[in-house]
Amino acid sequence: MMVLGIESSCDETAAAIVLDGRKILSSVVWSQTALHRPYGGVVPELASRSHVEAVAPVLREALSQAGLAARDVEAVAATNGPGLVGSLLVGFSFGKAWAFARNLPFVAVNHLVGHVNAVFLSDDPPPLPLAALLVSGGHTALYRVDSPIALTLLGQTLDDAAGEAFDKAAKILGLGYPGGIAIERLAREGDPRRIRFPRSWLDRDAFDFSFSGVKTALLRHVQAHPEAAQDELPHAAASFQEAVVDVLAEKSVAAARGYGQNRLALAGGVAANSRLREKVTELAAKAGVSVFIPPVSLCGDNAAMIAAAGFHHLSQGGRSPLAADVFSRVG
Amino acid sequence: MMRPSIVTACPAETRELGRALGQVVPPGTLIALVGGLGAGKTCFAKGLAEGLGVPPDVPVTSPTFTLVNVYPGRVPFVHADLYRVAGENDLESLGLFDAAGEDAVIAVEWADAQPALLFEAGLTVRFEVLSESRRALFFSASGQGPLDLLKRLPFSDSLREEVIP
Repeated sequence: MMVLGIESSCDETAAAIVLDGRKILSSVVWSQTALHRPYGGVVPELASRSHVEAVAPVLREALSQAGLAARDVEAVAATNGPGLVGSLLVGFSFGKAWAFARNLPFVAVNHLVGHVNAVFLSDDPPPLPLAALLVSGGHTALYRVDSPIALTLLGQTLDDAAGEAFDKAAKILGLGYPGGIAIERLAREGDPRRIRFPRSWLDRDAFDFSFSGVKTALLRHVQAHPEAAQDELPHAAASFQEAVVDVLAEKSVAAARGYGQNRLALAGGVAANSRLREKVTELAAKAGVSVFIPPVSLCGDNAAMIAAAGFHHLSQGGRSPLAADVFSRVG
Repeated sequence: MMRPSIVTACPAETRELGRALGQVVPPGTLIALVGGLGAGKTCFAKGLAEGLGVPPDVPVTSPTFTLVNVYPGRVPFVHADLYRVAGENDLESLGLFDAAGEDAVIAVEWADAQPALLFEAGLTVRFEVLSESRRALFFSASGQGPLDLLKRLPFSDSLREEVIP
């Protein structure tokens, strides 16, 4: 089944064509990062307007790159949340209208379920069940995955998402917006053991996370050592990154052992972080856990993952009514 | 001008103040939360949610990325965060007011990012970091209803009155 996926939950407008939930025929992502960069943050009105302007051209580009015509599409899937309501509405309404006009089945896809589906976009998808760590700017959660669309929450962040912690750390260190990549780059020149930032394990046997404390610890460290600032920056970045990655990696491998039959998948924008990939791979190897990580291009927001999740919903009879709405928050 | 403040010794105390406020704050109140990174704004908002009757199994997490989170409760709770929001925005375009209807209590972190919002807020809580775990919370109100509310808070006796020079 040829599924068109549409994603507009945050700062990216994306469209993709995926065959049978596995084979990507095209995946086009239009990022607003450059649009917002001069402002040092997101301008909501600009974000919605940008989605409106981008959604039709991005879809045309996806069809063109796949070498397909609109009539070749057999079903439509679009993200309905969680995310920014004003942004979600653009892609979701567009998808509904496009499906209605062509009399095609339409299905809403949860953005988080979409992210986990990045790992199944492969000729050789991992066996099930498995545990999946979803880490992005807005979300940090561990799931037991029984099918590409059957996720059971094992634990999640109780305050800041890991990606948000990276972004705020970048701001504290004066590295600008967006900050996750800046921290990773600077951390390569630093010693991750130089500063011992606290690891928030919460209940050691449970799978919830908290990254608010390590963010505050970094801020206090920088305030306490202003004179050392420039030379120390790479060490601060590396030590901070290590504190976040340590907890993510250890809890994920434990979840894979307990709930994933020794299989672990990573998903979400922060799964592109090379230190997280390294650390997870290292711990998993020791524990006899197999790790499945999608290519970097499928870690960030994209529509191929939405089309893939949509395919699995549709093949189980899932359909969403035209009255379906979007939502901002998980749960 | 008087500026009532209270010092909390740990995050649990900050959260407890939020809970006490949440139990009595009238529907439709806009609360501005102002303070730096790690000053206790989200912690206070978690307490507010609890006081407003948001079910305990629903984790109240940072809205930095989603900008606006809506929670069901005895009174609907809108938890917003302008940390990532840049530029001077029309308040309507922030989507705070259409998220859960007029009865919702709306708490906005980094409200000072949009001065127009501070002007609209009935209550403003400013957070200052005193030490690793101690925080000072400064309460101010605008309008008769919120001013009366400040006097009726269960912790109003502990609010130290300070004169702003």
